[in-house]
Amino acid sequence: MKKFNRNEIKVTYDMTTVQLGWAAWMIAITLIIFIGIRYFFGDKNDLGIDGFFVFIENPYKIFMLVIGILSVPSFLSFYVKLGVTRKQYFIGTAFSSAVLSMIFMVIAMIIGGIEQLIAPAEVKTFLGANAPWLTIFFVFTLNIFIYYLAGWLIGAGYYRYGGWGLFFTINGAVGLIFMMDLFWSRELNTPLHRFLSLQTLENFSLVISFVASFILLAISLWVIRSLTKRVRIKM
Amino acid sequence: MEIVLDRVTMKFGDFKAIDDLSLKFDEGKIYGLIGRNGAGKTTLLSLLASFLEPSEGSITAKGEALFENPELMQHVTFVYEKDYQEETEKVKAYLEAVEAYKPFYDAQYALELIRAFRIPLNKPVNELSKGMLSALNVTIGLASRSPVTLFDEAYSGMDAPTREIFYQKVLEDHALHPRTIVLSTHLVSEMDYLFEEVVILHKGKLVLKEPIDVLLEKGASITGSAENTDLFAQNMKKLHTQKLGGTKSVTVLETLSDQQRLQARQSGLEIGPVSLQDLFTHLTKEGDSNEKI
Repeated sequence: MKKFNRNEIKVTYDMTTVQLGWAAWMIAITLIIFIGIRYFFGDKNDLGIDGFFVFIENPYKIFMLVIGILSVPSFLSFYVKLGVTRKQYFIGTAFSSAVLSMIFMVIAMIIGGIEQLIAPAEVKTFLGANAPWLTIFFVFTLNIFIYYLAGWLIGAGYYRYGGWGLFFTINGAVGLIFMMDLFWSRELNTPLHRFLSLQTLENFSLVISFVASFILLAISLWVIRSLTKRVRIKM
Repeated sequence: MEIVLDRVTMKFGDFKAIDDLSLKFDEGKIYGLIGRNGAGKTTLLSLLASFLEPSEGSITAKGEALFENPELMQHVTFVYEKDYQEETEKVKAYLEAVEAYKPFYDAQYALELIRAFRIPLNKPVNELSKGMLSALNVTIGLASRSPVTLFDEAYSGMDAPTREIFYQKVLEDHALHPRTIVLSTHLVSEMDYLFEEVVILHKGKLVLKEPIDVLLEKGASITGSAENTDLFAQNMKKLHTQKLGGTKSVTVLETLSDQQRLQARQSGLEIGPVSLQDLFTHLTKEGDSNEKI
């Protein structure tokens, strides 16, 4: 019996479910910590907590960075051994991480919504207090997704070129995140930003930020694909 | 599935692990791939499994390049000693993951093998013993029923009775579902009866590729009284000599004619076949690797 070869879709589905399984722990733990903080410190916003939606952003990002780094060494090898091509892996992984980012935001919004029902509060993201939810959704999804790409880039660089690969791709990943912060974050105040006298958001319209982000995203994907296109699979 | 290698070279830096190799693996045959350590066996199999792309030359199947070809790659299964330390999945779930990507996978047959090898289904893969891991690898290799199945010293870790089961299963299943199987091995004497054809590599180059019966006719072992044996074999190329009391056994590299066989019998000598192991040792001896037979 010959099964239909749709490995890209299978890889997308498998990677999404596996990584979502891992994420379930992270989300649950973050939620418990959040509830704990809320319970003990009340609604005082001294800690700068603007609701779960904002609270979980950083855990999401770190999680994506880490599983991105693991992607090539664990999944690429696994899949090529099963007869999946590097290209099918690449497409499947790109889609699964995008889907994962969206699912993450849906989960955050659902929990955030429940939080609003229990204890209504003004949710203030860096996009301003009155930003439309759809915009918030896409901007946050994009920002989380970029962290996966940053990790993926590092993992691919190391797998292909070892220590030197790491040297270049870590710098690339830092650059990528730095640029994304530049396009999206209002609160940025790193020494580097100050040194370059960069002013954020006010100077950029949403459209420019999106376009620039997609260009960055495309470049990152292109570099990752180039690194893994003909890469030797470690046994 | 037939695979054709045309002048394939695989370089790692300056080192040529495979050197200008041209070779054809026919559909449906069992090949023995033998060679000493570092002969390039694993590199050759890695190339066939698309783990590597050849530095030069081409590897094709069905007229198309093999590397990164989605149709062809899923028809190749490469079994080797994998590192499973990170694999916390249970055997059952792991097999299911494999099944999803192998077009000809037979789950029923996999279970049969699992039982034959006594592999516990509910144990995490990274907790299996070395022998069990080899058995699991072999199970995946056989149950995938891939048109091209490559076993790279897949038996390592198995004890002798388990290896016997493995060899038996290879023969049985190949008879029912003919496909190209390549078995690379050090244990030549134990596995030679499995091979239809033998491929011998030495230092990345092809020494020979021949049907095993043709190959084994190229030599003979002669046993009898020391005197008669020496006389009979005096002008022959000797691979191996053994003496026990007045009896001598000589392995020669010579295709014996009917007349020679008759003559030997008349001198009270026994003629037996040469072992593949002896031929292999001779052919890959350092220094005279270019000698042809």
